[in-house]
Amino acid sequence: MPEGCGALAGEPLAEIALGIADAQDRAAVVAHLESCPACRDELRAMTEVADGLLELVPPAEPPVGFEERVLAVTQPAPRTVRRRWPRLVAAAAMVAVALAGGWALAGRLSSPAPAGNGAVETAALRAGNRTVGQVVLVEHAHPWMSLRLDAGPHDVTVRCQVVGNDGRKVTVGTFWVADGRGYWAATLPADLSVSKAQLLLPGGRVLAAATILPG
Amino acid sequence: MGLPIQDLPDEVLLAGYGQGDPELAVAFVRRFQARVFGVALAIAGNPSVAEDVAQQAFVRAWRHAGAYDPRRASVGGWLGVITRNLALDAARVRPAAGLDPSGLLERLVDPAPAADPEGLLVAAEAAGTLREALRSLPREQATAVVLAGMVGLSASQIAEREGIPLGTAKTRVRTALRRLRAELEVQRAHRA
Repeated sequence: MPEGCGALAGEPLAEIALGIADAQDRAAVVAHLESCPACRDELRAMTEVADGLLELVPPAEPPVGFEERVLAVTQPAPRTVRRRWPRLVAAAAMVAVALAGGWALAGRLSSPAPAGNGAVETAALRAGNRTVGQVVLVEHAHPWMSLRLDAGPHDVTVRCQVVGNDGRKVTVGTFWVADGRGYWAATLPADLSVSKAQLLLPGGRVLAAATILPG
Repeated sequence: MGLPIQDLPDEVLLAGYGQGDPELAVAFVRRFQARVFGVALAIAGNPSVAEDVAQQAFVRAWRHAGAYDPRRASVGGWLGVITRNLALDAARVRPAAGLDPSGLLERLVDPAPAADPEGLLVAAEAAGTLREALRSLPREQATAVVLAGMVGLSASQIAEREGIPLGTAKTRVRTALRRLRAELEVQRAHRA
C-alpha cells in the first residue's frame, strides 16, 4: 500500500482526513503537501475512506412532508420565469471537464418533448470508436445538457458552443479543464433546436464536436 | 436512447436540482432524503433536530451544487459530509457526552432493516466493503475512528472519553484509518 513519500510518517494525515486535526497539526503538513503529489494522493485516499464511513449509516425515512418543505425553499415558484443565463455562467464554472483531441459527442437524441414532462435523452460520448463518457440532454421548457468524461488531458480552457438548425451559434460556457475526468452542465437556449455541439480551444480550433441527429 | 429520470446518474440530478429544474429536483430529493436524514439522525439523535439538519443540508447542497467536484467524492458522499458537519454544529449545542459510541458503531457494522428496503440495499451494496473492513478492526480502533469520523471528536477528546493517553488515542485513529484503507484495497483486489 502506498504511504506517500514517507516524509510524513507519524504526522496527522489521518486526523486531517477525518476532519479533526487542529490548526497546528494541519499547518505542519500543508507546506509538504503542496510540493508532494505522493502525500497528496495518500491524503486523498484516506479522505475517501473517512468520508465513506458516512455511507455506512442506515438510511431513515424523514417525517411526512419533508420533501415538500425542502422543495418549497429550494425551488420557489414560479419556476418558469427563472433567469437562466446568470445560472449558466455558474454552471459552466461548476466542474472541470477533461477533453481530448478528436473527441466527439455522438449519438442520436430524440426531438424535444413537450415542456415539463421530464423527457431525458442520453448519448454515448465517443472518441473515434471509443466510448469515453456520456451526454445527457434534458428537454424541458428550460432545456440543458450535461457531459461526463472519464479520461482526458489536463489544464485546458475550452469553450462550449452549440449550433442550431438555423445555423445560429451560441456559446453556452467557458470552463477550465483541470484533470483527466469530470462533469459539466449548462442550460441551453430554449428557442434553439440544437443540431451540433462543439468544444473549442483558445484560438478557435475545434477540440470536439457532437452532431445531434434529428429525431 | 431514452433514460427515465429515476435512472439518471446522481451528478445529473444534482445539476438539475442546482439549476432549478422541477422534475430533477424532486428526483434528487427523493433519491437522497433517507440517506441524509439517516446521517442527521445518527449524529443528532433527536428526530426534530435531525429534520432541521437534513433540511439545511439540502438547502446547502442547492446553493453549492456548482461547487461539487466529482473527482473528490460521490454525490452521496458529498451530501453526507455536508450533513455530518451541520449535525456536528447542531450537536455542539448539546455536548457529545450523551452520545452512545457503542450503539453508533453497532448500527454501522450491523444495520437494522430499514423502512426503505430498496434504499438500504443500495447503501449496503455501496458500503458493504467498508462495513466488512470496519468489522474486522479491533473494537477499540473501530470505536476511535467512528468517534473521529462520525462524531467529530478530536484525539484529545477521544483520549478523555476513553480514559487513555493522548498518544494512544492518536495511534488508534491513525492505525484504524490506515487499516481500513489497506483492507479496502485487499478486498477490491480480490474482487477485480
